[in-house]
Amino acid sequence: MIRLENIQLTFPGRGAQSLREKITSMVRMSPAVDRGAVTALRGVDLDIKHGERVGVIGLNGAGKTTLLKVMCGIYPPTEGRLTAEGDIACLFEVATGFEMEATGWENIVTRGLLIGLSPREIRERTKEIADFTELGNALDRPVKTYSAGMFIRLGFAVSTAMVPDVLLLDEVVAAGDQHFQEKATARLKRMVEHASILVLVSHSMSTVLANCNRVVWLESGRIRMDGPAEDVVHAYTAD
Amino acid sequence: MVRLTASGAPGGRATPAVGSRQEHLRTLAIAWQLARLDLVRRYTATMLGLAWAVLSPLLMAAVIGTVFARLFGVELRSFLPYLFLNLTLWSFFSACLEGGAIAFVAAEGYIKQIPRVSLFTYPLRMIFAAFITLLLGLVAAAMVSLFFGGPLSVAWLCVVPGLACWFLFGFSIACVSGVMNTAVRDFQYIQTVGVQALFYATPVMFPADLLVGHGLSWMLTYNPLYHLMMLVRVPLLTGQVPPVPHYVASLATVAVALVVGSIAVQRARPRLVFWL
Repeated sequence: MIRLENIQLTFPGRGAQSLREKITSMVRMSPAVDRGAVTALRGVDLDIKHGERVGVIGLNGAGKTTLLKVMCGIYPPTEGRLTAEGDIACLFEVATGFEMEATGWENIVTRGLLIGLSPREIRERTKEIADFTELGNALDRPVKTYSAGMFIRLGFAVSTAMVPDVLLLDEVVAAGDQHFQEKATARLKRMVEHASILVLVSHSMSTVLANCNRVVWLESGRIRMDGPAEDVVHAYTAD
Repeated sequence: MVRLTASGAPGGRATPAVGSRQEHLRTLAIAWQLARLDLVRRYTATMLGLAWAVLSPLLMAAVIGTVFARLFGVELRSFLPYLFLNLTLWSFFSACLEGGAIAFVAAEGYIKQIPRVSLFTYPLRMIFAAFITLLLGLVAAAMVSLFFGGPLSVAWLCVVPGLACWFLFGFSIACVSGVMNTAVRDFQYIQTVGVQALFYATPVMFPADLLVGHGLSWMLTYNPLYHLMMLVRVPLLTGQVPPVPHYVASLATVAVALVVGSIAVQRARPRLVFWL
């Protein structure tokens, strides 16, 4: 279950952070004006129950990925209240967040621990994860020698090694070459089927219609429409 | 307000609740894994590897020692172990601050992508690596002391509670440094200057008596680092139990540091991700 009540999220601008700004505001005895602040979500109310498959659509910059990051607890909301129950897995830019000097194997263990696998679970799954990446001997090398595609393979394979109750998915995740994309899609499909809640951010209406029974349409950080998948997608494409 | 609750939903493993024992164990396990990679990387990049943890303070002590022993008119055989031990402790202290300063910045990729990892994980990672280096240095310092005829005594056991203080102190200051430097990136540079100043105000390279002799004994009384250093130095070099006042001062320092450190991280928690 995920419940968002009147969620607002404002990114502080870099301006309020520099020492110069802080000192100037102290001298003037007025709070620092944060010129770069951006409000990404405004008054979002959302209640997602078990079994729901929610697609999130909207233009670039509408707040879709931000919404996902609030749901899983990466971005603490500026205002409002978030309640989330169950094991959450979120898949965004899987190709970042590696120990560059460490080998592929070491990164499997590290990331596995970070996403919540136990050391025993990691030992059990390492081989399967390694096979899925198809990186072979490259796993013995420091990952700083990897290409962008290899990072995606490694990151994706580890991040999808757990079976969560709640799956938050940014569609761009399944990138890579044709062959890997097919494998990745199949693996995601299995995860999606096992998860009791899916939240999928996507620009592809066919993907949304194929996977979701409910769609939320975001516009400038607000929910413009929320309802049965076909209705919302229809309204969105007509807009 | 954020409330992330864990539930044992069917088919899923419950995510450990914030503040629970499992959560702490998980934090330790992740920090240790990251620290291990740091150590392996640091010591496999060089030909002499792990030996540098011991060699670098030893060489420095040898160079500074021969000059300063003459300057201060003290005996080399007692001054050299003193200097070596001090430098080892000091490099732990500065490693905590320097490592702490970049703890969150270096973990940006994790913090922005992987939810439900305690923020304490990242300073802890830095402390683990620095602490292992400290332990190696201490073993070497003990051997240097023995080599120059220092006593071997049961009082050496007093080093254990002393090191526990150092560990907690190091962890706390790493947390504070990490939060400060993530909020205001200028902090690192201010910190470097501060550490340098403190280095000269603390009896690291000169005998503590020198300050007392110049009527500056207050510089020892009010320097928490001096008391912390005494907890390790007294047993290791003189074979005696450290005097109680050093314990009192050190425990007070550690308690204050822990409170400040955890408040800093707690208060930064809702904002830190946006500072990266």
